[in-house]
Amino acid sequence: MFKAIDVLNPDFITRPSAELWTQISPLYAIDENRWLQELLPLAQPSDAELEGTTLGATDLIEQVRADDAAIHMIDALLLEYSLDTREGILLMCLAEALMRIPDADTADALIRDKLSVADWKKHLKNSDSLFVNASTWGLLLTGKVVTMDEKDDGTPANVINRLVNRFSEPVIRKAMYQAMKIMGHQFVLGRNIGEALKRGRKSRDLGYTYSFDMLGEAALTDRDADKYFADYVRAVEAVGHDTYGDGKTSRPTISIKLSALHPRYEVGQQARVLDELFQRVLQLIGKARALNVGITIDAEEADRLELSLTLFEKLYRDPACAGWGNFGLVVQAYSKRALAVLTWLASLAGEQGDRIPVRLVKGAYWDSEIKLCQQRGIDGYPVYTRKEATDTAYLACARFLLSAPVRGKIYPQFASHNAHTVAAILAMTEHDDFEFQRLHGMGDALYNRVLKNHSVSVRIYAPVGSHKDLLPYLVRRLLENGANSSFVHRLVDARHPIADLIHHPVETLSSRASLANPHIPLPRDLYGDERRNSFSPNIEIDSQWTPFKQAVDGFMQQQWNGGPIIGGTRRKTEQVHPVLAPQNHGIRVGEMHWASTQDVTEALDLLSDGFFSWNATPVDSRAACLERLADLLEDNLAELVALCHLEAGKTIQDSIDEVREAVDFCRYYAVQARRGLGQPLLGTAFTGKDRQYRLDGRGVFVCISPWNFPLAIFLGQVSAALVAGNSVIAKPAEQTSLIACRTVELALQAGIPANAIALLPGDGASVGAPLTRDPRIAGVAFTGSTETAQLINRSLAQRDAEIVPLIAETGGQNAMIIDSTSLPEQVVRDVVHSAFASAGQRCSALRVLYVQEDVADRIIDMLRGAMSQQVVGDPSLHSTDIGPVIDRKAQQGLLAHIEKLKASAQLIGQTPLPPSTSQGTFVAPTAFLISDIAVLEREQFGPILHVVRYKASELDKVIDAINATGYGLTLGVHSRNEETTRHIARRTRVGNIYINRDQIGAVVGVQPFGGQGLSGTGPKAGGPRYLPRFTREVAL
Amino acid sequence: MIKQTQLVQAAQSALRAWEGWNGLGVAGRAQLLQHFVAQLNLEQTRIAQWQIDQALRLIDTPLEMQGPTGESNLLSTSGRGLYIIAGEQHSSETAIVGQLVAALISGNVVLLAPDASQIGFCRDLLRQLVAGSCPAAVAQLIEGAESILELSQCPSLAGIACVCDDNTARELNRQLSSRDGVLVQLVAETDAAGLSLIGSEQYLYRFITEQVCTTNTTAVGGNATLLELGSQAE
Repeated sequence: MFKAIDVLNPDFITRPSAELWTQISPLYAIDENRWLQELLPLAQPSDAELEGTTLGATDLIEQVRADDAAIHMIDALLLEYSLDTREGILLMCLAEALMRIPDADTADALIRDKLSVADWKKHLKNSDSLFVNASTWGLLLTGKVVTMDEKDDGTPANVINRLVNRFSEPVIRKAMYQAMKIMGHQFVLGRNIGEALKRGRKSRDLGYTYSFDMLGEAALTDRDADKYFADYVRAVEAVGHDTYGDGKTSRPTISIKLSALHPRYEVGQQARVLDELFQRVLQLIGKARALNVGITIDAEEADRLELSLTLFEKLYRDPACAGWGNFGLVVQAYSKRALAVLTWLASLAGEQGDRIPVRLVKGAYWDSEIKLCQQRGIDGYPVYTRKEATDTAYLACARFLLSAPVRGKIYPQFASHNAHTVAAILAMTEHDDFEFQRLHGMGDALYNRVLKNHSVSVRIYAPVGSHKDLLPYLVRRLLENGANSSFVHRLVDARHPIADLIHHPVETLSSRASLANPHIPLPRDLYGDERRNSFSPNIEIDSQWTPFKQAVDGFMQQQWNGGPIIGGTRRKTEQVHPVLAPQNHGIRVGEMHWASTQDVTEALDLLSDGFFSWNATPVDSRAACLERLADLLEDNLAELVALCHLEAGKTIQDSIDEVREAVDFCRYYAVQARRGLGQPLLGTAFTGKDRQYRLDGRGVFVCISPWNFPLAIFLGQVSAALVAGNSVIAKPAEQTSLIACRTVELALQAGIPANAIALLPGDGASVGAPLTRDPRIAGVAFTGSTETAQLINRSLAQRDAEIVPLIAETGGQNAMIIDSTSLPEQVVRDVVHSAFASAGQRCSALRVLYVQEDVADRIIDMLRGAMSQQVVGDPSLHSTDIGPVIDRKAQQGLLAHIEKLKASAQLIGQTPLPPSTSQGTFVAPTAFLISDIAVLEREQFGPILHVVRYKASELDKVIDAINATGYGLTLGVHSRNEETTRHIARRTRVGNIYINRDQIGAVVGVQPFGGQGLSGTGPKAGGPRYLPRFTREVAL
Repeated sequence: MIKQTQLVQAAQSALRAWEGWNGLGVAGRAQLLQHFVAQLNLEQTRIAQWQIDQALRLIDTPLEMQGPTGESNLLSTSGRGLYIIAGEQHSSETAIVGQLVAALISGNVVLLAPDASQIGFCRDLLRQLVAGSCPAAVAQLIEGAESILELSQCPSLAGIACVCDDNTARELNRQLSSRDGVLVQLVAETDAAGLSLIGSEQYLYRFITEQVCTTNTTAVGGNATLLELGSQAE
């Protein structure tokens, strides 16, 4: 195992790079406390260093504070509109969206939305900076506000409201655009490389050099990737031919973002990345080397680190690059793998005999990394959870980079705007073979002092490109990394004692009771002490993926046999059905014995009796059974994932998520049951008297589940009914009964009594119908089509028996509404995922996309391009995005719909099917432009998306049309205008609304799931009101 | 015999009023119902106020669901739509008030179809509702129904809440189940004397539907304040 302190051993980096490579991945989510304990000695300053750092930082801060012109550009903006204020955030939100909105009405509405909810008045005239005042409405509007202020009613926001209302909207809009342009001008060095080179001359004269970047969104289509490539080529050529400042400062370089150069820069597409993207970057390197323009690969999200490094090595070792010494990359210190990556790079450089420039940054995706791990249930975080931990790691990495054995192998480029970090590096180093880097518009005063006082290079990282494209991206990075703003505040605000700014991070971190941040729970502890979050390996990380894949592969050849389970015993029957993999009908997964009429009768008899003892079992014992079952599901994750691949045609992440959802159901319902079931509860009757009652099981519950979530929904129904005290007869979908059978075996193993649960596989006619007409049935939980729910309802109603609950989750005609404030890249990514993931076979999947007319062409074009990048095929492969549909009947229905629409609607795009898909039941993801949701007669349960264009002025008609379908399951909304999202949410009658994200993947206990109207009866599965519906209130 | 056209027209006008009524929220509706409650006799006041209090306690405030950072998840409720409230001869005035208030406070609109003997009482109830500023369309009287069973073909129905015996309830359930479209909720109180269903903790839940609104709060950028958590006093 990698030991941090060992990196200072001169021999360490002489070890083969291949050996050091193996040390990187296991550190991905290493225990934070343990790892920081290892890093602390590396970052620990000597007495002399500490003194030098303290004095150096103090000196820098004093000089900056003494400089009247110290604060300008972005620093000034952050000072006035700090990102921890509502106004700061709203200003950034406006900046992120306004410039891309093509239509005036939507732009005006966004301005109103952002200006009307915060206390802007307090910022008026506060800032001395021309930029700040001009960048906001302060200077632009102050005079007018003051004259209008006579009627100020004490609520400052109203000043602006009145202003907005009184002035004609075009005037306000124009002022806002002007403000945004000025802001863009500050964030972006030039709208093209020529302008950037020209604008950069002033800084070059001061001694700075540059790294230019055509920053922007990741490419989703080939066309976007081609465009970014052409931009980079132009930039390399322009920089290569520019000789300004040569000999005085280092030559400028170009930073490139790999995700902009390939539409599928993902671990799952590694083969394409190492071929297509490799060739593309190699071309750039060839050109750059010929023109002596260094290239740096920018860092991206933690999931892509290992892919980036693999590609980097291949490029670095290529003859086109060997011996050059100007091909480098960015390493993020907040990553727990950073130090190991640096040692590997040093070894690589040693092996090849040249140097690698490495920009050490703190990291810009911190919040996303935390969120993603919590959502996915990863076993830890890839980043540190305290700022001072990142600062400590940064200094630990810096010590390694500045150590003698590394000199000449890695050229360190320290990027930071923190005066203390700068001073610490200056105190730590014994040579000057390194440089500092800062962002354009930030840290000017600080680095002007550094340049003046020290013989060291400073490079400015400068975004280049159109303001409209770059501002959204830069604003998001700034917000993501908002802690920067607090330092700017404290740096320039003389009220903050300098002593507070020069604490060494090692001291601060060491003073903490826990090195990891206790306020940020680990993903498994997301739900506190009540229940553990379900676990997922991260399949993008080699150290987690490889052993998981091996475990799954161990089951991929297995044959499973299933049948009715009654009295704890699996039976064989006369009706044997082979089970074939939907992706390849040549693969036999096993065989299923269907229940006979006699089995149905026996199960009913047994469970009718069994109910009494199970209902009398203490709720805590029933809940404990569910918790044991959850643990067993996780213990058997590999087998269940293999079964999901083979029987249900599910992709890898879908299969993992399937198991996770089932686990979450068990744990959530266990908690809910302990809270309120099976024990005396005290209430007040409407007569005013106290009343005691208890929620008991109702009797025998029938659970009829679908094939699209053969484990999660199956067990969701079963576990809820069971823990409520009912005995349960489960009838799984015919297509996915093997998974159900294996799950019931695990339930029995977990301690559910054999007379409390039975499995009756079979079709609706021979199993479902006799069950639902039996008078002993005390309730039915059903998920499936609206038509089948009605049949069940009628069957139950025909009984001469008590009226019992029918909890039905049925179909949908799910829509997403996007307006022109939304970000096209986010929209298209979410649309593709919502419509086509799981081959569109989710109840929640997107069926009808409403796109505002003004941005429709661009969105549709991007959607077409992104669809062409999807990979359809074997769901057990990491490279596959979309697997098969469940069976031939489903396939034929979907293909018939596609054929019909080809004649009556406009085809937008269709993902190509590879030849191997002829072995199974696949449907190519397809998108059509249609006129109205009303033309769709019924839900198409597969990868077919319908797109409708709408006018902004007709938003309410869109909502009415969606409501008029009668369905109401999920709705997606993409808009930056909060009033718009609120309006849509208020008016649309749907069960689950998702704003500015995809609309699938509801999480148990977080997003309780279920629809309204034709989409279901409620209560919502995975919600706090679900279990009581399985009970009977018994007065005590 | 009830006139179908009367039923259809009343249903349509009620549903037109539904969005506005539902949009008031529990607290808003509770406020509008206060005048109405004040006009009732003691027992009726108790059951009406109890339903309102239950609603304020159970469904007024959206629940914030605990989840990952960077996301907000709010679970709220609303009415299901149009309910018919009906009763047979033995249905008490208290039961009618309990059902009516439960349906209204949850956000539904109501067609009140009482037994002929209670028409006058129901007319008074509706008058008091309007006097308390409730829109007239949210609760309307339907006269002429000779049997609860006649009401099952009312269009756009979300549910029927009634007081009846077991046999009638079963028959009504059969009729409702034969409809196409939405599965109509039947909330049948068969304990006319004790009102054990209308007075149960779970009763209001039969009148609501749930909605979760999930917002990605980091679509424009990360949550700048999260990292600051680490600096809190420990």
